[in-house]
Amino acid sequence: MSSEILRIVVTGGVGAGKTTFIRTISEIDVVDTDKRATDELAELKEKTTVALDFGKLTITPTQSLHLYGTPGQSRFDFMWDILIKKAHAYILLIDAHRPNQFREARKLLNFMNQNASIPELIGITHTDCADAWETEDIALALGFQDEINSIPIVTVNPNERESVFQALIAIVEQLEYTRETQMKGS
Amino acid sequence: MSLSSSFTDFSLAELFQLIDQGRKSGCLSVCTLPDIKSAQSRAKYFYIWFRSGRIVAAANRLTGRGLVSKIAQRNWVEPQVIETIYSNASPKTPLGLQFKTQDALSAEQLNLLFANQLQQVRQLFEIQKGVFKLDCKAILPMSEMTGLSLRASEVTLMALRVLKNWQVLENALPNVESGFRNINQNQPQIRLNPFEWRMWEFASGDISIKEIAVQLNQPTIKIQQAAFRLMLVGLIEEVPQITSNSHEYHYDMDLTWVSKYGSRAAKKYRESQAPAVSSSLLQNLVGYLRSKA
Repeated sequence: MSSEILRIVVTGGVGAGKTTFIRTISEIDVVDTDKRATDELAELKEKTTVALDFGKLTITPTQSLHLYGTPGQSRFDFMWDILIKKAHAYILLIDAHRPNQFREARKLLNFMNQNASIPELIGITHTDCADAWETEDIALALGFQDEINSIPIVTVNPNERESVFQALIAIVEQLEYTRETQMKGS
Repeated sequence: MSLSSSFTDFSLAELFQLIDQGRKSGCLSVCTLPDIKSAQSRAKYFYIWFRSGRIVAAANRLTGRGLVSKIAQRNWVEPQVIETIYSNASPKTPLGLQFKTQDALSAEQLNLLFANQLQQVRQLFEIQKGVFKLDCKAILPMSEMTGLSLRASEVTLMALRVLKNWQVLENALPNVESGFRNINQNQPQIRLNPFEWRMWEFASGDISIKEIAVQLNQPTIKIQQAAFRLMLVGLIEEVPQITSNSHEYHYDMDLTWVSKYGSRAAKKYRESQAPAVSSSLLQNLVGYLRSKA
């Protein structure tokens, strides 16, 4: 029986909570692909030596969710090229109290906007920190001037299972919507 | 609600863009950090007030007497008249306008006073080390207001055109390998200089800053700076490109199509390669996540 995999990339700056996000819900210990490559990673990993965090959730015996966490300091190199080709959606985590990461996040959104047509979700983390920026201000810093042109933004606590599940539900619902729209269009 | 950071993390130019595009109102407090190598060096404070993304006043203290001090310095009005108007001023009307309605100041004089406030604001762009806090609940100080205003983005544009030290903005400049695309459907409403107009014509996303520099026979840094100015006024967005650093990671993929067909063709290629996902998987996954959430 062939297996079906949904691949979601979790990206963001250093300390935004990518590894924690994956670790919180993964049924396996999160794997650093630089240290241990598995068959499941082969498709994403076979031709690179770049480190990715990898986590997994089994939905049915033949269906599973794979989560890939990018390195903190992502350059738009060939790793991104491979991720874009293989991923079904991506989540961009942004630390609300690190404004120095907003600029890179904005570049990443522009890069993805130009190079990929996959559902996207912004997860704002560390919103409980004293100097955290409001979500509306972060959205402005990312270049979204109104809600209509913005991509969905949710607050996420990567340490809380329920919060991570809610973020995943939001992105999977987008995938369902995109799929339905494509079906109607074809 | 307040918004704070340091200029090394979020530049004044980017902050003005946020204030302009978010149509923010309130008071921005800026504090320059003292030079630890100099015993005489002290922190300096400056305050800028905004209404709906427009600068309406600026002062280096919160006494409410910055504007009357400027009027007095210029000897435009008798000191007694200044004090009379100041003491009897309405708290609902900008003080500058009250001077004008009482024929104590001309429109041209008000313009010069406001230009002087903006000149002080433009000097803040040279700050290399400092912190800021935007208090959106702050009440606008009528006693510091001329009644004139200017979009924060216009002030940024003017300040960056004459900026001498770009060190604090070094990391904010677009990458030389990046292109940029037009994000404004209409003709720019902001006043661009001829060089910025020429730059704007390159906003297709397909040509890199490095290549534009060659075409215009200009230093790359000048192109980066002009592109950054257009980004800040909301006309263009940087479009990062996939970098050719395969030697660094020892990739052995066939990537010839990237350079051969460019980013647009690459996008189509990627779309055609996107793996299919069944509705059954999505439904089962949402069901699974909901049951666990």
